[in-house]
Amino acid sequence: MSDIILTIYISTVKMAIPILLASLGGLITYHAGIINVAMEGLMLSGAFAAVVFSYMYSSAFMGILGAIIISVLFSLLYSFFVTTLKANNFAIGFALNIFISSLTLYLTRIIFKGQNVFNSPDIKAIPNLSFNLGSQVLNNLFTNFSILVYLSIILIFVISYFTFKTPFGLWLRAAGSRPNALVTAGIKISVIQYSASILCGIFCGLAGAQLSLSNVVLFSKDMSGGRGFVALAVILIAKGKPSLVLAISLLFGLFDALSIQLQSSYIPPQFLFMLPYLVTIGSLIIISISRKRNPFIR
Amino acid sequence: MFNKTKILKNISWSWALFIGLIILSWSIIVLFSGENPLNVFYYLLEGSVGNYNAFFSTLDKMFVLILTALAVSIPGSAGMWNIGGEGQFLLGGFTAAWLAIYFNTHLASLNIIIVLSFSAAAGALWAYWPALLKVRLKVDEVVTTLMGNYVIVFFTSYMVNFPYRASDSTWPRTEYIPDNFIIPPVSNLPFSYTFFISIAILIFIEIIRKKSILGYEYSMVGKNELFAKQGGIDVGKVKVRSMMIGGALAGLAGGLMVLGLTYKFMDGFSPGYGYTGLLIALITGNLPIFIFGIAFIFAALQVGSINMQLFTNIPAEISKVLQSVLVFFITAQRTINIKIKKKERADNYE
Amino acid sequence: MQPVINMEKIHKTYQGGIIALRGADFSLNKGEIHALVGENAAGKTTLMNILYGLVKPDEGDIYINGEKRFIHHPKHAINYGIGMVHQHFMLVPDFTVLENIMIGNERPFTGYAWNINFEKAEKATRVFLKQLGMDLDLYKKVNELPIGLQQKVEILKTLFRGAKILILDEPTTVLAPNEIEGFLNFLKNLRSKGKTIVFISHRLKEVFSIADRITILRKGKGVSTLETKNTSMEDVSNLMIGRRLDSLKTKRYSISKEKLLEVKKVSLSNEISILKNISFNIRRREILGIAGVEGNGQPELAEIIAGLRRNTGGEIWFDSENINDTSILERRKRGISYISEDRIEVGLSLEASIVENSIMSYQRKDFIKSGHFSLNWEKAAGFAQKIINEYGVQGMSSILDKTASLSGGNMQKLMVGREFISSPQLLVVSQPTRGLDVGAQFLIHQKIIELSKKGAAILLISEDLDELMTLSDRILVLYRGETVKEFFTEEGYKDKEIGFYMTGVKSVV
Repeated sequence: MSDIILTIYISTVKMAIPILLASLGGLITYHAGIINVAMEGLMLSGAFAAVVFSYMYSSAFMGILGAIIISVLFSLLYSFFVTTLKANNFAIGFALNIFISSLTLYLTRIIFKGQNVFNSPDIKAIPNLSFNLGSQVLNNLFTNFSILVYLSIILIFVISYFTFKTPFGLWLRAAGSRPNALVTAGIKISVIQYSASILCGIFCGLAGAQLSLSNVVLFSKDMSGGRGFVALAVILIAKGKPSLVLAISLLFGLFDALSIQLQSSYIPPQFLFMLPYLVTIGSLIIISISRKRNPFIR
Repeated sequence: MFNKTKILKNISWSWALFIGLIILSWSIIVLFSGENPLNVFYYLLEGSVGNYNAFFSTLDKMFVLILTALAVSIPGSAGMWNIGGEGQFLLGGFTAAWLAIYFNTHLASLNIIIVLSFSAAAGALWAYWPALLKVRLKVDEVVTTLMGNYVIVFFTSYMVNFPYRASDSTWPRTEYIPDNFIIPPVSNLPFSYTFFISIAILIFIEIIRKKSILGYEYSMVGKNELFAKQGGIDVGKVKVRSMMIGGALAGLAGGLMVLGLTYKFMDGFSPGYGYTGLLIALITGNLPIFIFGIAFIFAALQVGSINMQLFTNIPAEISKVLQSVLVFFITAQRTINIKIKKKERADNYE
Repeated sequence: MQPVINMEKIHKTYQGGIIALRGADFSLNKGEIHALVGENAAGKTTLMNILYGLVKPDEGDIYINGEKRFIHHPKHAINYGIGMVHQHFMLVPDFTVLENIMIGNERPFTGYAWNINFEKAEKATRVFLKQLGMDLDLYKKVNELPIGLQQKVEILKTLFRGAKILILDEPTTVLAPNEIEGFLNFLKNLRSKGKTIVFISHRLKEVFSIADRITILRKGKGVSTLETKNTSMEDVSNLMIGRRLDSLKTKRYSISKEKLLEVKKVSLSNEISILKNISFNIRRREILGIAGVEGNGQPELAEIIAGLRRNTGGEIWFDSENINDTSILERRKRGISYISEDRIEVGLSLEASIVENSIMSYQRKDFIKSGHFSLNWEKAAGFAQKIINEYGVQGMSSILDKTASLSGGNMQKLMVGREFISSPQLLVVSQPTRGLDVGAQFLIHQKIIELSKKGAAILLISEDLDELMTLSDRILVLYRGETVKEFFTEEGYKDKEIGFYMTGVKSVV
């Protein structure tokens, strides 16, 4: 029994991390006032690039690096259209999502001769960090996770600090709240927006790498599975608080994990797959109801 | 007065540049597969407009794109983002198949209308709840409609894998619909009346938008909600209704697809038509007039890539890549055009 | 003595063909308070925006201390010691005073971990404040401060950045009458500390109380620069508008006894009380003015009566019927018309065309539609043209242009015209002449009186006390969501007195 709970726990953490990372990245764009709906595509591009680079260089590190680079490149493309050309951010975001989805599938089929999945023993997965904390219980709970998992936890604190304690964080929040205040101070809003976008790209790239080099070790069509939009929901629910971001990411991770664990011959798998999405919708509804009742809760 | 010829000249240059860049990007994408772009474009064209067969096949595919594009642009003009076209489409399609197969009443064409109405209603219902949540509780409709898509994909997949799976199927699908529900092709061409139905709807929507009071009110809600509200317009009603109309159109598209093209519902019924419709709506900026032209281009790309797949190494999925590239360029083009016009006016006013 | 700033032959035309400046000149001496006066759209704000680097001139030069300089961005202006405070503040509402001051000035206070050392910043700011003889709670959020203080924070920001030349754009419009004196003294204090001040205003009383010199702009050109002591308010006023204005025909008709609007103990609360137990009546042919500094509940009150907002307590009665639960549409049908103080977000749709804006709330009326479902755009165009002609809306090449292409003043005229033209029974109007020059203001005031004569009851909310005093039969002062005092035209309005109640200096005991 406790084995199953342990398995679910480990799964939960693994599934939560991509959402957590994407949400942290999205949080930055949220503060800057340019919410990024392309996180889904960025994550997918990261997942694809991670597998390709890891395969080509036989190194998970290169995979992670590749994921970041490609995701940032797409973020720059996004910023160019939204910040410089002032196009509608929803439109460009969705177009980018569909572009990346179809492009990654297209490239996969070309590279792998018509298959929809890029799988190979030569793809190097991200190693797990295993160390000894003394007791079996502590070891089970906190060790043996991928490097990115630990990195993500650290990043939560880094982002908090960054957003609330540094000058850049000040400018970031001002850009989202009253951009005029920055103009007179001589700070270019476009620079802030580009930076926010690039940072978001880095985080989404990492999220993708975790998906394709750790949770599983392959690339398959649309493997981001809507997680980029779940991250969007997380940001809307958390309203800028990093601690809430962690909590809700874990919640989704839990249902994501459960949808796999609970598979049996009695419940058709499709209903389980629906779970995380239903939970997302449910959480949004619950949060909105409570916000309506107490409009001044911060 | 400002120099109109100069504006036209500058805009023509930007159009030329723009088309050139599109062809360039498409060529680069094609090169990844190692094929010769010229070859590829040839097969694309051959497969989409090269002969009567191809041309009508292209036309035949347009109805889905027109309707799913409208499904986004009608709510869009009222300020609501309907990303749920995919789910509404699937639901409408499944509803049509289910009704046709299990509620057959042998009343010929009347039945087709009834079935299609239910398809539309199903789509409208599935669009109703995200709209209501947005209007009453301010829940973002982008996320809810999108999540909703995944739910319906799994739901219809379940339906077609378990309870309603045809016994003789190799791939999960329902039975074939009875003959009296089939929307016939036009004479012996490879395209059916579904094309005309979608055109009729498009024209109807356009007339309403421009000439009716409703069109004005929806447009004002989309441009400035508070302004519409203080003028006495019930903004909440407009928003919910616009979403329902959008959902109905997407559902209708699904129904038309079943009755006029596939004659059954199956796993993988939609290769992302809802999202393609979204792309088209984004390109045309919620203006129905251009939907026809863009839908044609998209349909051509889709149909042409099947031909292209036969003669080259390139998978048909490339059509989506080429389609989404268009969005970027057309958006950029539009913004640059506006800037050119503005600059001209400012420079030349005496 | 060489002027510290010299602007020569500045030309500026905006997109859409609006000529803001045609060869304007401006010179500023060190250590003076220089007033820049003129009607709306005379070019005052544009000229100073150019000096501050927010707007690029089409032609013309700027000389600072005799040397030609290029100012293409506020950054450059700041480097030359120029600071500007606009009418709409550029403060981040959620940030504290200290955080707002810090934006752009962080470098001396940033630690090794790239963190802002707020204690150090606080110390430095307090020293700075002391030098000016000021005091502020640095840790209070800006949106919790009264407007007058917010403005001080804005000025502080610029001084902190090292501004020696301060440009203030209509600074007193947000202040109550009794706050103005203190503010003007503050400016005199700054002058004594060596600062140079450009004071944009159309309020000649204030100009004459502190300015050393006055430059008058009219229609984008400098008309004259005078020493204050050598001229008079009448002269300056004439130079501003170029003609004499008739005085407004004040009312000389009787108010009906019939109460059209009854507000009964209306309150609005949502954790904080925005309105508390407001009660008043307005009779036909009566104009009731509501005086109050921005932020004391006036827009909310107007919205409640118009139907945009729901009151949490009390009742609204119109024509002897309780309309608490009636929709906006229903209220409009009964003849209640509403003009919001926000023409950009509420009163108009900038993205929509001028004709589309003109027919809002009339789209289902017989004179606009044909049949049950369609809109007759020809009739609509005729209606729009009627508004344009009667209210003097200018600056468009066609009524199909986007409303955003109009100047602020013309937008205001369009919005006001649209609502007035239906001869409403009850007119709820907020800041009707905001952004209008004296001529247009006169026209609107005339129209208001006409409407009143026809039998309308009018609720007039305005921050312009002169406007209120000219038009109102009674004035109610709104302070912190309560009606605190009523004034009557028969007794003669005294603006200082009203001001005291507006700012809570005096209260009903």
